[in-house]
Amino acid sequence: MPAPPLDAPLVARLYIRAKAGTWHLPQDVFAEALHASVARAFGDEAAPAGEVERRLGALHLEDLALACACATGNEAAWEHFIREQRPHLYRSADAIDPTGGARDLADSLYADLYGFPDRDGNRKSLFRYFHGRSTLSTWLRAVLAQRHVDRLRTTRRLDALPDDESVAPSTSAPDAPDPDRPRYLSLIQRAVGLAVARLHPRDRLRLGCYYGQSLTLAQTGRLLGEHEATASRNLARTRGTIREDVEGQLRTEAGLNEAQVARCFEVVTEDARSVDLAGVLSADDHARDVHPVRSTSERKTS
Amino acid sequence: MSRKSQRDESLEHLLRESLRTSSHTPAPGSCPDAETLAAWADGSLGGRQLAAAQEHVSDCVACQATLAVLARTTPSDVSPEPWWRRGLSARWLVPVAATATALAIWVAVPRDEFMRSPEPASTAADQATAPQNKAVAEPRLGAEAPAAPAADAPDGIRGAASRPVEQQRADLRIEAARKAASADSIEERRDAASSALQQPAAEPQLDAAVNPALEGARERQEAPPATLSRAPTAAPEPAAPAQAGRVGTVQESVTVIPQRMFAREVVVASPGTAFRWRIGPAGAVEYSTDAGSRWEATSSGVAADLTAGASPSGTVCWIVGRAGTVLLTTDGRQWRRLTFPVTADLAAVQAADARTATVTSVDGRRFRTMDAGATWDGL
Repeated sequence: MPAPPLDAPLVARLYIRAKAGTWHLPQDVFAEALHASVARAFGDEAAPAGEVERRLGALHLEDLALACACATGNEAAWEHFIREQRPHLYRSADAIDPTGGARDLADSLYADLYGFPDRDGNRKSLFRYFHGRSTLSTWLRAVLAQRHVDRLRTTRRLDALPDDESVAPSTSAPDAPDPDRPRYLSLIQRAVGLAVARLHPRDRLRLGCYYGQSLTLAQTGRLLGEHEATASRNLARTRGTIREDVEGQLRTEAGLNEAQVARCFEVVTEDARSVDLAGVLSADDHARDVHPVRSTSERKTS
Repeated sequence: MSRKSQRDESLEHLLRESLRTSSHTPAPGSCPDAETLAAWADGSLGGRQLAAAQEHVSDCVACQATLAVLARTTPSDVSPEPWWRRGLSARWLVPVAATATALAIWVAVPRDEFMRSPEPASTAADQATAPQNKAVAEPRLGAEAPAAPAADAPDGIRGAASRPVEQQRADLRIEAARKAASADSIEERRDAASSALQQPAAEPQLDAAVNPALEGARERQEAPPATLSRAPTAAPEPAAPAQAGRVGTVQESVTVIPQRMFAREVVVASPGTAFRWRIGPAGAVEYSTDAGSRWEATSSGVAADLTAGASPSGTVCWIVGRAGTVLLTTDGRQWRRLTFPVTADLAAVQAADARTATVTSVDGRRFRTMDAGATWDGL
């Protein structure tokens, strides 16, 4: 069910708050953008009028009006947008790739923002995906970040696979042959993968941000809406949860004794890169269906 | 090293090495759009949407990488942290220093001095410089000050013995306050305020003549706690006239410490940009778009002393000040005063974006808004 049309006085009030008149933005265009935003937020659900108004009031209205004006080709709006946003975007591009590799992404972004005419001659601007839920500046950075990540992933995918001889790492250390090493490695690989997969998504996300993406504790905490000290404590608790889970699996499911469990952990530090958790995670997606998801805090209180 | 920590270290090593090279992604097309991630990064995503996004991103390396790029390019709060706040929390500093000062005065001043009416001249000068200040200072101190504006302060309520001198001083302070308030730049305000400082400093014996014991007390006050008088950015301090005016007002002397806190200039920098804001006494805010080479005055619309600011990004800046003053700009120049739940003096602000900020009052209370000041939650 499409979202119902918006109340005209409400649109008029928001139009004024958004200072959309600065850009001579037609009110119906602005109303359309608000409507799209409501539809985006509530989907097919019928939201109460008060909730719709609250949601609309929480939008970044000035940014939304500017985006609408730019999408309609308003010169003054474009000039303002370029003057205000380009420096930030270039700084973000330089932060992403200090060698300047992301600048071309930023430039190509402007072309998409300006839009290309479709078959009917209507210009399709990237701005149509902006609904005012975030600031325009952050949205631009997010688009830039997505494109950068997509490009990186495409590049890596297209990179030539290494020769068989250079395939690292071997699963047995040449100077200390241990016939059980591959087995221990395989066991702990699976146990850790399962333990990570059983974590609460929020805990898994924290791990991914901190260890996978090498964000600082402060950055990780900011993304998760928690103080860096809390993020640090939660990471420590999650590590403890994983360790206990792994130890339990190795003892009960693999039937290892304490010395063998200890050896498994030693093997990890000898050659961690041989452990592909990604593969384990994807292979063990079902683990979350089979085992209950527990957060570290839940575990702590239980 | 214990077995546990050894194993934790092993795990940490494993997680770092393996998650870094992971390429696990859920089904194509299921990733949240850029605006959802942006709203998340802005702190404006909540409820089910946030939970759904977190669940997806926890398993999607591509989205994690995108968020990581966003996090790395997010301008952070770089408002200068006063050294006194780094070393010793204002939460403790203010009551401890106030108690110490009050005790010192209690010992130094004869009891009947406390029974005398407060000196209105200094209060009037304070009102002229920062009317909001009294709203906070008076209830705390229990002093009954006249509500009339400075220029209209009735003579009859002044102490007869010190009237000529105090009258003269009050006039000087009022004039200085007016000059400061009408000055175009922070430098001019500071100069105007400093000129008022000269006069009382030149005649300390007059105060001593009025009450030698109070002179001793003032020396202790004006040799302010070392912590407070050497703020890193401290320049000549414009709040000094108000402080000097407290010589004869025992009760008000305990506000010297907060006054000192605010008597400094703060430069707020927008991280990664050349935007700067310089804030100071009497609602002064200046704006620079070239990293401080040139400053232009902006109208903050308030007369309160401004104490701290934070710019999370671009032209967005939050400023806080005395008497619950919270200002927000999103274009760098136009300021909007936000409604704040209490009238306490505010000492710090941390901002994540144009909607989310946490404000700390001098008594240590913290308030957070996630809707650009429409509502505040106590933390």
